[in-house]
Amino acid sequence: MSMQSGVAVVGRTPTAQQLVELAESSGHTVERLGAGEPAAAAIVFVAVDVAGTEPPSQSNALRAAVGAATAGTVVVACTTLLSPTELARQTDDPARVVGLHLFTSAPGTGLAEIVPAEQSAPSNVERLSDLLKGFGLPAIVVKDRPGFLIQRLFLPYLNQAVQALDDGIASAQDIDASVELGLGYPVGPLRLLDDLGLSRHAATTATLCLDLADRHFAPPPLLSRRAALGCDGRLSPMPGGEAS
Amino acid sequence: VTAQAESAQVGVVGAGTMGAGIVLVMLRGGHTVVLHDVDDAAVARGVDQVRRFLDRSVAKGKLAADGRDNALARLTSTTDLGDLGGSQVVVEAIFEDADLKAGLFGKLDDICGPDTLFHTNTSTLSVTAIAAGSRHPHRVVGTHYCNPAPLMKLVEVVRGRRTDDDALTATVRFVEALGKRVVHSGDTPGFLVNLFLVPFENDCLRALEAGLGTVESIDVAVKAGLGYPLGTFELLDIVGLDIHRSVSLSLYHQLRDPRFAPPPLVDRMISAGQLGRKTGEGFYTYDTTALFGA
Repeated sequence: MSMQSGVAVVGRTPTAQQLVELAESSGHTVERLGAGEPAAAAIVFVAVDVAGTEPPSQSNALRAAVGAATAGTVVVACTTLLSPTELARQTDDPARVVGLHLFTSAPGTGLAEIVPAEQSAPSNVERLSDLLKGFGLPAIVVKDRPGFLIQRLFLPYLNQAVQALDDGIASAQDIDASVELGLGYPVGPLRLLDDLGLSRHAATTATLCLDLADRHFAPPPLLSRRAALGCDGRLSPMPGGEAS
Repeated sequence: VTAQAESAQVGVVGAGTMGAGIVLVMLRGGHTVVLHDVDDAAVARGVDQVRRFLDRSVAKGKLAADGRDNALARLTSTTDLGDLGGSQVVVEAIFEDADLKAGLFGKLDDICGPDTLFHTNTSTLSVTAIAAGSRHPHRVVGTHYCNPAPLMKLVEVVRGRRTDDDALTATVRFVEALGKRVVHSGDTPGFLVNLFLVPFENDCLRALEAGLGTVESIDVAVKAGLGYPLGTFELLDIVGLDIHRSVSLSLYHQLRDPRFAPPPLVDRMISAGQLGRKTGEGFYTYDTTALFGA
């Protein structure tokens, strides 16, 4: 329906950088845009938030991108936690907004969750889906519900591992070894949390705990204590260091 | 307690899949094994499973023919528990029922010597509760082998409330000498592996029920997003929905945490005969009911 082609990316966040790399590696020429700059591209990605680090006022960038878009442009709201429906509502043309969650923080190949807003035009969802087929990471369509799909499944498991450590069920090394050797997971939950950053996880899971009213998302007290230590906070022993 | 790390006599009670797998681990560790089950047919099936595994290892070039013959020469089988009397270690791998397991150790008290280590291979039951059936609970230790035991490196070693230091130390030495990686877990429901796996599986089932994803998209998310070797529904089809249900319910009743409760979809699929690979249909359909790697 549109002769437009090309990809534009708004913003300078790590997610924006990742999108540029994915698009370029699949052969697209990528336009880098500042907030509100008009785009000639068919699909404009706007990095709306980075988990726990940026205020939701970033939806200004999305509103500006929608305002500057030419007819037929799909505006993709890249978010880890915010509702695409709510983000789209704050723009002048919600039908052209589609949500996207790039999940590359665990040691899989990476996953793209396409999150249609309630207002998204189905054709726009399809165009994003078609574009992502070339990006080299699996894409699935999920509902606009808190945590979408992958975080909804993953976070209670991480919290449970922290609580098991705090309860003294096993050492950090043995907790990690149990899933690595018993279940074939690439990295155990505690080392993974250390790599992700405890405060980032604590912020994400606290938000989902409120949104879902589910205690399995509540940040375990040990997590909160260690997260408060900033970059010194760890759950598993330093490689080659003393046991925690 | 003086369990030999090398060339002990090991009694294995229960000739099902886990029992046969444990027999293979013990034979590979250089031990002599007496395999027990309640009737000749069950024992024969277990021995046959061991023999077929070793035959396949020879066919694949992983084991020399005389290695297989030597291993089989160290295996005897019996339906008489009394034949386990000379064992330094007895590993129990019978049906997952605490009363049955406790009762077994009560019988073994009268058969085995005062230094025998009693190992219970349970995945969901309390080691303390099982040990309570023995007059020597200090010698009862949980050793949870992962299925398939010959291929999986992990063993969860579980100390019951009455397990003593000597039995625990001897058990760790014995299991490590089998080439396994020991993790220590408290005697808490599900130990470590099932504590993490079972509620995650149920979360995936609830996500499916809620329409947050499809069988395929959830499996893609788990494999691509988290790097797990199998999708949750692929794994559940291998495990079998009936087994998953009983493991989930056992842990749910012990922990009273709703994440462990099997969602209604599990009951519906069981009612429909969609148990997984073994019935040819579960979340996916299969041309053959044979389990790979069996």
